[in-house]
Amino acid sequence: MKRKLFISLLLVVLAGMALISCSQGPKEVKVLHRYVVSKIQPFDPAKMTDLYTASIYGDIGEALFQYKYTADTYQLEPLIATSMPTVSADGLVYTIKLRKDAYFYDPLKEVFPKGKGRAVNAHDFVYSIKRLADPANESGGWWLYDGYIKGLNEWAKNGADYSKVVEGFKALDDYTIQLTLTKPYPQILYTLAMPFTYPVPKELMDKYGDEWTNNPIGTGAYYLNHDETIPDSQYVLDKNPSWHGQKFPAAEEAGTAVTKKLGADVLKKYAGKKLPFVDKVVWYVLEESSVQWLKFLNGEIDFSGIPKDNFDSTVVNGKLTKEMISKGIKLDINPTLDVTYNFFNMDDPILGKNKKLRQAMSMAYNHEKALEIFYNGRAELAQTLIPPGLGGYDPNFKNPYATYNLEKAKQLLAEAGYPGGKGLPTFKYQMYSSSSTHRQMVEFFIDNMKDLGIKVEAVPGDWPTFLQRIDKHEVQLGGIAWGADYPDAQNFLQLNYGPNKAPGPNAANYDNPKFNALYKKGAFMQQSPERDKIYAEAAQIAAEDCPWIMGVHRLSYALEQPWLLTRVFRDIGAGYTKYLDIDTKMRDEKTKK
Amino acid sequence: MLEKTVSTSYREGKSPFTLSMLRLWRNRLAMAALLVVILYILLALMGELNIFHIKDMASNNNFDLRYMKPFTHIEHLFGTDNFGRDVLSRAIMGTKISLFLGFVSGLLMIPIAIFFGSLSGYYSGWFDDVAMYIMSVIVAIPGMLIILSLIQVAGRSFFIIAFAFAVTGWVGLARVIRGSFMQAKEFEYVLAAKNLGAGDFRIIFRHILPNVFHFIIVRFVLNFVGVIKSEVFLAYVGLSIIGVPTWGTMLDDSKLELMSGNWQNLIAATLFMFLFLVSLNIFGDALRDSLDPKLKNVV
Repeated sequence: MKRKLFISLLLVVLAGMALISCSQGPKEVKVLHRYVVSKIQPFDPAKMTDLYTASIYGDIGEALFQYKYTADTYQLEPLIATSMPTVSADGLVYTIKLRKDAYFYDPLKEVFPKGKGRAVNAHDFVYSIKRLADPANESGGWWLYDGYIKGLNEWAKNGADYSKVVEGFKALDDYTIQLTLTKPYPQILYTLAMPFTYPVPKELMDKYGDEWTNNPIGTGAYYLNHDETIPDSQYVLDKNPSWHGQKFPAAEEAGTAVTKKLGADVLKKYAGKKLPFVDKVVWYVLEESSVQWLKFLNGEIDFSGIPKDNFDSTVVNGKLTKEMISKGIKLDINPTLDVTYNFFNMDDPILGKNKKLRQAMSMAYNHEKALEIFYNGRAELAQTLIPPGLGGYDPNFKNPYATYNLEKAKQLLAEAGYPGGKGLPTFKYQMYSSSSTHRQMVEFFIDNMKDLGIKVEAVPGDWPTFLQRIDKHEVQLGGIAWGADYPDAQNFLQLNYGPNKAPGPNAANYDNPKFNALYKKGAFMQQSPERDKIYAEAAQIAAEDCPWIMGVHRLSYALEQPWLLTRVFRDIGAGYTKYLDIDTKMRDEKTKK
Repeated sequence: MLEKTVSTSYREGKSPFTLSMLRLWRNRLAMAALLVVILYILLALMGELNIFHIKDMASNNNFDLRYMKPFTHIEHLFGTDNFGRDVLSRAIMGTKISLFLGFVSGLLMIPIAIFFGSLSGYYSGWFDDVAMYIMSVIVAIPGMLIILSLIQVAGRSFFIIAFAFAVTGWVGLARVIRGSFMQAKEFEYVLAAKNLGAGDFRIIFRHILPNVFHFIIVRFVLNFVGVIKSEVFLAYVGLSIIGVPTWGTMLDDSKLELMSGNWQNLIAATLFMFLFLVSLNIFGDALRDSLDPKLKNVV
């Protein structure tokens, strides 16, 4: 009897459980798949000098401001700030109010035992800005504030004592920051949207010591899932349960180009919807373009660039091939604010002191063929470091050294005192990746220099090693690119500004007083034709000095899977994953096919 | 005239080595394989001496002739690559690198293997313990991991790569030599030599080593196979030498090019590698069979 009763009870319980599970249905987990093309650095905002680390960290951390997602131009809007700052009449004092519900989230529950930590406050931002200024941190972001904030340079010089107040960047109360500048510097607001300024809780460093950079804690829409993350292979982010929240922008806010791209119906459908849309983001580290491409074709990545070797079979006359269109893949072409270049270490006793040698090497580099081979013509040859679309870009300026002319190069080399390359040592070119494409680029450079009579040897290395060696001034020759942090020519000119030498962003360690003076003069001016003229002049001085062998300004050719719904090309800023949505049903159907 | 009925003339006996070579000679397949190997060596020499401008065609960029398809032009039989370089010439130059790596790593590996293998096999005792410990440690770590680490630390040059292969490759041979020495030291000819007053050095190098030398020769030949495969792997993960054509870098390039229908690099490198490895394997096997006295009567 007892046995029968037990079995009946068991059946009732099981039936109940089945009923509950049927009524709820399986919970759909939306997973977005993205990638970076290089290994990333530790998660320290003060050292976040590269796009790849910032891209992932951008989903975890948050700044005071962010760029509007659906605007055609780059316009700031508040993020941790409650509103845009109030600015004093003289343009020197900025007062910024913070929201009180931006909580740090600790997935490991070691720093904040409940996971949801305390709310980020003004002191966190003050601490983070001080970390940028602290010489002990050798921050790659110090150039943003060097000389601009009242008392910050002095604070750094006088021992960087964190207990002392910096006059120009202080907390008026727990949720109000006051920023005082030395001179009017309108670009300052852009810097407050960059990952360099993401607040870090001091408790994190106290808990982990030097290991804190492996355990990022932020206030963003996602947190790092330590269990599923495999360093140097994939970084998995999960939806932050304690995120303060945000909504998709209203349809009226969208610019014309964005409306054309997404469609008015999509904008209307998403307007006001709660972000983020996907539950999980997987950031793969894919150094090989062939792997990126195959993953995209298999539907394992939701959007991708087009590798150079696959371009001709994918895009014909600026349009996708029928095969791609039949799969529902979409092509999105956009100009980018960037510049690629090979740089000379100007601290090198031979390269740094001989302008004609650098000019010769620049002319021996086959810019035109590089554009064809490595970019399939999807770029514009760079004449100076300022890309088109920014004030200071002069469309009429033709850089005489940014074009291939081997005869002239040989003549310049002879004038430099090294006819046929005689007397020159073998130069070392630092690599940053073991990918085939990068190897081919380095081979191309070496071959070009060989034609001139100059021997160049490749030094292998990965991305973190490359950056570390630049910081130590150990790279004799290297190749790199710079993408805009904010839409202003100053962001590019600072790459050649003397005081920004490595570990700052001036990897070439170029230092020309005339250039520096022009840069400084323009830095404190409002955007105007007069400032554009100053910047154009500075850029042309650098072009003549050849600390770089100019590369290209690229065009972005991105392919989107049909199930990716809300992607807008954003060249500047980070943390846009929260706006992305996918149709998982469509993905399942398409990938099954 | 009277003559003796018994002739004084007699046939002189052949040495075991001559007999082995005769056995090898009779193996037609092995001889064909050897011919292919010799052809590869000649090709490598031709490349190095720039005969028919092989070296120039392999390294000089010709951007007007990028990605020529194979068998469409007599001057570029296997077509051209991304930089307009002749793919056939690059494959020939790749032969040189493969031969160099195999040869140098073999030369570096053999003395180490002989030293450890013969001494530990002959003396046993504490030396054997230490040698075995070292060998076990090296075997326990994946060979490619040691090679990758060495290249990262000591830099990337063909000599370093060859050295790295030698460091990981000597253990197998040393173990074989050790085993053979353990067996041989109990044989009568060794006891006889000892009784006649021969020293250890003479016994090891004059008496026992020649009897196990066939292992070393075979191992030297087969080492090429392992080294070539490893070089390809290294190049595939981006750790080969920049600016020098090797079969590995050609295959590495081809992984980008295949999707766009350019298979020149793949076909040339694979064909060259396949023929060479097959020939080496056939020849190596035949050599082992012919040098092994136990197999001399096996049909």
